[in-house]
Amino acid sequence: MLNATRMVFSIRGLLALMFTIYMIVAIGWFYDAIATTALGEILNIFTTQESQFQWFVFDSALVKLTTLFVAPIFVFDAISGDRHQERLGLYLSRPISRTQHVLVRTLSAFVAFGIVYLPLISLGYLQFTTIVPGLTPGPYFATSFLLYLLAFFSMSVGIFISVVSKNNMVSFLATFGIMSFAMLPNAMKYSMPAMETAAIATPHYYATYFIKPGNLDALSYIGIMLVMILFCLPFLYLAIWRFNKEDL
Amino acid sequence: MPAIEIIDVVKEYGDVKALQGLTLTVDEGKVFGFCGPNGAGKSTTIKILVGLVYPTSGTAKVLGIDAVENGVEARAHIGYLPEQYGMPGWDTPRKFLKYIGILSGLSRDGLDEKIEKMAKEIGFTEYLDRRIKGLSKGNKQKVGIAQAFLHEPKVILFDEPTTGLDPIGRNEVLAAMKAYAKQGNTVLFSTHILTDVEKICDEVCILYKGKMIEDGTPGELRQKHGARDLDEVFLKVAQHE
Repeated sequence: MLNATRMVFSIRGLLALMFTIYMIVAIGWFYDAIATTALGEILNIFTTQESQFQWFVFDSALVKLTTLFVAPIFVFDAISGDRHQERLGLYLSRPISRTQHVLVRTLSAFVAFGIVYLPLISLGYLQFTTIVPGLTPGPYFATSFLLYLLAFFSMSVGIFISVVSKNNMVSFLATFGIMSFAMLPNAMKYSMPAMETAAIATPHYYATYFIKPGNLDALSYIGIMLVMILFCLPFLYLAIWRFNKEDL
Repeated sequence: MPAIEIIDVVKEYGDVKALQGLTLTVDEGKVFGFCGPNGAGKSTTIKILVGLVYPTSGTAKVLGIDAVENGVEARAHIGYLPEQYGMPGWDTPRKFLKYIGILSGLSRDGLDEKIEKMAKEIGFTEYLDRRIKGLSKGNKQKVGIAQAFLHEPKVILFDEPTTGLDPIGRNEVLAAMKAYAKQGNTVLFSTHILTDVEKICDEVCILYKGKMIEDGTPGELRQKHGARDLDEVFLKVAQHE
């Protein structure tokens, strides 16, 4: 918690806060703007305004911006930054294991991001009901939380890159690159149904599973949460394995 | 039980042999000087004891605990100051030491008092609430030393603690190490400044290209080689190698 609090009350916490506020305020404006243009035709794949809006918020704007930019802010320099600033020796000379160090860095980033993201996404609901009156809270909050888990996936990738990279910028850009690549199949499945098979192999597919009202069922939701956590485990394992092998 | 045991430790970085079968023992309560030129293997040895580097072969123990197999347990008894290290510039020494104290397993209760007491003993009370990035090298080094002593470890490992300090700063650091050892703790510090070793060390070992080429008390070494000081001892043994 100490690490998480330090992150929230730091420049990165402020950046994440500003970015998330900006996204929530801007999303409504962008939705209205594109709904009346040629680009808005893509919204016609959904039968109701609510589905359209949920897709627009979660599958196009919020997912991409949050998991591409905001989540990695908290973790890209977790290990590479300490290495670059020669702090690893001081921290790892304490009675903690390297595994603990990696897990604490990842979990505190996740908690810090949650402190910024979860209240704002809840406030966002109030703003979005002015655009789509009667916006169903169940799918909205269910998907919001799954996006939070998707951010954890982004952080797992980020911590692995941070362990193997010796440079913070490389770490951030590599995380950005991998996440951009990972979200493509799910983004393309609406216009290219053949991409749905590829999308199933990415956590983004599961994060946006409940964007349609009426889809929500508790067992499926728990199952999907577990699947999303499973996506994170290989990267966490690789980060821990690699970090434990290294001479510092 | 020895405080530090290094048994036939070899460390290879590819084709480079940083340590070639080093064996040494340091008894509890001693101040041990670990000397040698740059690249001798001093930092590598200390990092092996702290668990930052893994030996290619051999064993390193701290208070009988294997530093590789049981690193977490061993590090509970170690205070370490690297040769080069960074601290968060935007933090104050108080905040940084608090964070380090919690990482070291100290309770938050009484931690503030402990930090203030440490600052008074080492001599940086007036800088306790200033940002670290604004401190001089000497004062940063004092904070560095404080983080090593904070959890009252039985073994202190310092890597070149006086390099870059002015004479006053050097004397303060040496005095702090000697005072800590007098409390029954063990201090091992590496240095290439042999006059520092002569001032406070009970025992010395000289490392050269990953091998120990000499060890004993400063007086024994001077007598053995007919030298005025340890600098002369080192030059004689290094030339011989």
